[in-house]
Amino acid sequence: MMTFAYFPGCKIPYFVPQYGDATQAVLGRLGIELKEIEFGCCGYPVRDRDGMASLYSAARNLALADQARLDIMTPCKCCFGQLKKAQEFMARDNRPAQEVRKMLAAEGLACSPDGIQVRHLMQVLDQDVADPGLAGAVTRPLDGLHVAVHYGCHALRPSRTTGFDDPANPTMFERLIILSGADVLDYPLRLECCGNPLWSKNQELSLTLSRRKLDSVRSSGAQLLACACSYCQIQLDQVQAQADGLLGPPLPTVLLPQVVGLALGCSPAELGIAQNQLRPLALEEFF
Amino acid sequence: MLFDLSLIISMVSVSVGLLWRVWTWLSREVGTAEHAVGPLARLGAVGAGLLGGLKRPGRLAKALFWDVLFQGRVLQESPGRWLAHQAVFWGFVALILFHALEDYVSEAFLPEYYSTAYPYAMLRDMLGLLVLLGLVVFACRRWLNPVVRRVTRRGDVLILILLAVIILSGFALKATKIISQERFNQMVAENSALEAGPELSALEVFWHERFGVVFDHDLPAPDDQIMARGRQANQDSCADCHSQSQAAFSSHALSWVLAPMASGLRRLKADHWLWVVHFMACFLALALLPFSKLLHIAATPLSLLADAVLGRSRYTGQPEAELPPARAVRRALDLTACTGCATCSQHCAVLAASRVTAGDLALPSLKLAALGDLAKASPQELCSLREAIDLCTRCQRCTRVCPAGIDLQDLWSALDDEMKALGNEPAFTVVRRDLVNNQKANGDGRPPRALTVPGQTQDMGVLEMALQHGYFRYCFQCQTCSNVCPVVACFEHASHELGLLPHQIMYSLELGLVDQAVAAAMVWDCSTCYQCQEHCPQRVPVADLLYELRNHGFRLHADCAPVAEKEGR
Repeated sequence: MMTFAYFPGCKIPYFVPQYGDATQAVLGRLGIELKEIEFGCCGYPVRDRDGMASLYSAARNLALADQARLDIMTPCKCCFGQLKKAQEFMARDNRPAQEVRKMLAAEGLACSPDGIQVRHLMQVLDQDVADPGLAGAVTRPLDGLHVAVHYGCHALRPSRTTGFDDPANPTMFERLIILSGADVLDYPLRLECCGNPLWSKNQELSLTLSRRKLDSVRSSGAQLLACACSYCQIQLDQVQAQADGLLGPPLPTVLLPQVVGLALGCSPAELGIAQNQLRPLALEEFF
Repeated sequence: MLFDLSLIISMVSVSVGLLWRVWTWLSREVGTAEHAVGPLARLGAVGAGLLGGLKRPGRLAKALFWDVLFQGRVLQESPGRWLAHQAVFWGFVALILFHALEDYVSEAFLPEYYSTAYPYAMLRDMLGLLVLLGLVVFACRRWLNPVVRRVTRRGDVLILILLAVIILSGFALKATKIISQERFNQMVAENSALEAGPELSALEVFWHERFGVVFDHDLPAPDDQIMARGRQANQDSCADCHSQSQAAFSSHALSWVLAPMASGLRRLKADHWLWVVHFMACFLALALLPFSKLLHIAATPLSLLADAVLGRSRYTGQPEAELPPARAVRRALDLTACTGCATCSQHCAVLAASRVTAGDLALPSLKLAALGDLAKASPQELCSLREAIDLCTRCQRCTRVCPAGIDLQDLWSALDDEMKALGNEPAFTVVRRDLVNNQKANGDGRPPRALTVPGQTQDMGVLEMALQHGYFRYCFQCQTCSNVCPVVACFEHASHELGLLPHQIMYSLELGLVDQAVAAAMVWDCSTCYQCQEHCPQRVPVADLLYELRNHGFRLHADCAPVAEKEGR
């Protein structure tokens, strides 16, 4: 049985609890165990202000997982990207890295060189499910559902750091949706930003990015947009719902484990679908 | 006289103080709601909450017994702390009932009660010791735990000292009484028919040998005959209501230490002054109750009950039109229910980050205190508080672990609102405006300023390293970064709107024009999507450098003064 240290990040507990619930429900079905370790913030939110604070936060989490000898699994792509960034940073031997090592040592912590792996939920579903894999566990294929996928930026890029998927033409998300029985529709801005990093910094620009993204999705004729990141879901679901039509006609955004979970036979309540702000009507046909 | 006067003053203080507190719960606005919620509406909400709670008696009962009386949330957090808190809490409760109020409780209800008799003398001593041990655990935790130490305030220490003074002065008072010849004489006169003579002399020898009373005159040698006579006299006149002093074991041990100083203590009237210290400390604690963290004795149970009835506020994604009255009263109550126990700070998700940036104020314990005193904050304090607020990720962990049931998450929203009302904006907004507008206002006429020499700063970031090692040498201005940028794509006249485009920023850095680069709106409007970096054919870490430039901008703004004034521009 596979066990991961669960890294929900700071946004899931309060802002998108359904993402945590759905993730746990799906991985529970697939026999993957999640262990709760009290991690701190990944450091992504403070990166604008202080790179050292952000890297130290991330490295400390890596060291905590290292101490428990468990690989990290996070559903949030910004947490994922930040932890990957810190792994790359800690492998170096420059002054800032030495400084962070010293601060960790003061707490009795260390990142070992052959340390733990950082995995995103999507990689776990795609690569770590025991044979016969996700396909074997699907009991209720979502036939006839048309889904567009939103990759999110921080897992995909910078690809040399994150090693997530082919940065120019990733296929992991599509694979998982197809395994759930639904159809995937392509659209021009598939790999573009959701706009959330600029939310509350430059609201107008943030909404413009979201609008361009959502318009592009709509052009594909998809019934739903699926994403796999806490921040993206906040932007594409909650901000879209609050924006009063500024972002165009409502396009429901659901989380990857909500789609996969439904195909695995989880109940809508387990997956917290009612907690999404925009009601995914197309998904309700499979309840 | 002094006793009565100070008792009256402390009673007045505690009554008026508590009334004032109740009034603040019913009237204080925390956060700036659209409409103020008046006392009547709040009272109504409390009534409605109670009625609603009665419909679910299980929850209310669980809160009352598990959370309030048993302090189960503290137990879940740390068994050691729970034990210490139980010792202090129940020790004090018992001491107040059976010792401070002995005329009304002990004498009325306990069989054959004399404060000097067994087992009462021993029990009182034990309770005092229990409280003292608890206080020692508290003090050690504040001193030794690095996080708790960071958030310990003067008030926490003073209250610990005050409580310790109460207990220690009690022990010392009892110890001086044990060795006091005057006390002995006084009790003989009041409680026995003994006159000066061989029998009293034998009693003195017996009490000196057995119970440690120190006399200033010479006593006969304690031979068997005298001791037997003294024992008999003790049996006849004293033992009915005075057990041996050893029963009060801690005080008796202390009396051993004090015995050699007995005559000095007698001259100083030590027992009188220790009594004054003891009751004055008690009355001071009583008087301070509404005005210090001791208020948690009253406020925290209420907060726990409110938590049981209302639950935590939930994120709905919708901005609130107005503050519900129940929330208004709970916010005001919550502000006073904090015990300063630091549980929230120990679990805080940005605890690690706060060691590098923003500092202690980022920890919820101190941030909550700052919210309470916001009206008195200086501009510098507001600036530090702003850094602290910006660091918080609203992960709600503080709220989940708070043993006092405080809805901290909701108070952070209130804090945000109050800061906004004071005109205090997020640092990002301020720094961006400061740098970008200043650049626009000045045109590009001013001389570029070189960055601090690499190696001088403690934390040499990518930017310094990039400048030192010339990452940009490989940039041949192909403009791919600007062409793939989704932000650039949002504008018709991007160079005008964004100041410099990504490739121009890279070129500026190559030329050492950090000043110009950091003032480009592009730096601050970057969506961090990493398209530029991913697509760069020369592997220039474009997005990472934009991060570094923002870090640099924040450093320029580190003391919160506008960059423009600082540079004398």
